[in-house]
Amino acid sequence: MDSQKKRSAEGKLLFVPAVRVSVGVLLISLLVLLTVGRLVEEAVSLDPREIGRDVVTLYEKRFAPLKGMKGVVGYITDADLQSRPEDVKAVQRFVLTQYALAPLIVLNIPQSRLVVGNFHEGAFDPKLPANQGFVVLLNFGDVVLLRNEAVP
Amino acid sequence: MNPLVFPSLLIPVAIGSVFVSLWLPWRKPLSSALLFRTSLGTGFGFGISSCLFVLGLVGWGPSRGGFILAEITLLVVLMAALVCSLRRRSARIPPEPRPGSGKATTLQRMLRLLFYLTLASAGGIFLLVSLQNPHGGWDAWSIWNLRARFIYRGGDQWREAFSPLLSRSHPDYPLLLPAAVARGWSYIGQETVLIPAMLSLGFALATVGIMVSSLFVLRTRTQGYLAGLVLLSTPFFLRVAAYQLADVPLGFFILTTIVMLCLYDRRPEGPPGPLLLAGMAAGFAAWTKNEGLLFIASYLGARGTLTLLERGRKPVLKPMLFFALGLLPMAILIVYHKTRLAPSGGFLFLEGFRSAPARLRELSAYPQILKAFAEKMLTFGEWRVNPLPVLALYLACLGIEMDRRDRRPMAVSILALGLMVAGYFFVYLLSPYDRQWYLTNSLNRLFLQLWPSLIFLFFLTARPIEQAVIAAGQGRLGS
Repeated sequence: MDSQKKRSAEGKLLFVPAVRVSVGVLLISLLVLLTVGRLVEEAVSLDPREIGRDVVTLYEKRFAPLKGMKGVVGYITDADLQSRPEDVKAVQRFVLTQYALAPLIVLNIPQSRLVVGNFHEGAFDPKLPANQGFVVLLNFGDVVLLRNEAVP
Repeated sequence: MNPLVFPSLLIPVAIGSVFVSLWLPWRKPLSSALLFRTSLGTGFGFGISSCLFVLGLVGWGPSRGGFILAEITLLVVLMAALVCSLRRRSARIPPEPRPGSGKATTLQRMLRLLFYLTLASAGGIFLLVSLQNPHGGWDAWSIWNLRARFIYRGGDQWREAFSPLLSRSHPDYPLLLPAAVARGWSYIGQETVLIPAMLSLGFALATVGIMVSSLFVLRTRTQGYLAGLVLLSTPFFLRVAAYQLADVPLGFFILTTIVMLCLYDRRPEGPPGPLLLAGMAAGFAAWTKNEGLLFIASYLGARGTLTLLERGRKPVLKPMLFFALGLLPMAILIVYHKTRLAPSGGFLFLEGFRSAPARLRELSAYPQILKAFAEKMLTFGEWRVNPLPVLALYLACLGIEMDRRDRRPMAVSILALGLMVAGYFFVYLLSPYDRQWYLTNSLNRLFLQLWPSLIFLFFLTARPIEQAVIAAGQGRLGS
């Protein structure tokens, strides 16, 4: 008897769905379709030319010449960010430098025998290091490796 | 692309799938059982292989050949054990009779189609976001993948990954993801962004898979598809997965723990496999993120509270014993990591502990955190339409119909998740970070960790469509 009821009920589901059930399923289907619509919208708006130009990949390329070093180095950056080490932009640049150079440990201070310089367009003044007691060991334009003469 | 990428990921999935199969009874239909085991096996496999990798590093140092040999040996041993165990099991457990478990109805077919279409769209968006962010989001490259790089690139000096000089990148954070990524790179002998991206995809798919297939087993197929659809309709879930953050794997292990407890309570007189797996999943949660420790504490608190309320009417010792047994190996590894590999985190914890009384007295913080909780709770999923009122309406339409055997795990789970939210509140209250910044940047991810479990519990409570139709049919028959 029970199974007959089930079959009968399932028969109703196929041809005459109960209103409440239909509303319930419709609600979730609408929710899903709206999300899928949004995902498609997002996918269409993505610019394929941006692929490979994300900030991390660009940092990887910038620091490629220094890759493979081990040990501990200091860090200096553009003068305006050096004075604001907790600024989000400064933190991001520092952490990206660390990520690119791992397993080299990068300390966010210039007081180290070897110092990595991370400068952005035009921010690096080649005269400046000598004034601050640094010797330029390697210069790749926006990325430099310096020796701090003040640290033995 | 390195041809070893896929084998390097498939071996842990196979290890995990065979391992969980040893502890779970085979139920028909086999398609659901296979999806269930593969989804579980994905998370467990990555967890087990990350543990083996760390143990190997500690014991013998980095050795590519050694890791591969150890994993293949483990897989062969587990497969042999499974074959023996299947031969011994003379009587297989029959499937539970469920309404609508026979031939698929039109509605089931429609929902299945909608589910696969949504899954394909989600896969597409995952791919696009991953192509745009191959190294993942901020936390992925500043914490998880950075640690993986230190371990892999460091070679014999892999312990540098836990140097206190790297305090900004939290060397004491759990190791499941970094170790799984470094293991993948060691396996293929090359560093590629494919490994963390595929791991992340694996966890996202496994979360959907375990949700859908467990509801197939515990409720009905439509219930499983509907739950999967609600999860896939959470844009933030897809984004966080593509950003390779640890919140999706953590959500997977929390959900798995709850599912295993529900499975156990369906047949408490049966073998304790689900309990053991629940303990392991909780351990992997803590091996993934520190919030996993909060989950374990919340679960134990919830279980203890319920035991007190039941006043010994239910057996306590067996469930707790097997849960603890499952948890134990991970607990040992976590203690080793926190005390031996990265002890500096303990100092930070003690520092935070010392400043706790002052922070607790900061009265303005309470409304600030509560306001952020209320706001983020409604918006964390980055939905176009908030699903909470939709789900409430759905419940009003379909009603509640819970298997009485699910009541206990449901009560424990809801209480545990509630305690977790309370725990998050106190984390924000006591945190040394700028509170508003911390709330803005992390609270949505904390809610996401609980979201798969909440969806699962919702569809475990809501009356399945098949039963609602039967109820409607009976109403008409009676009228």
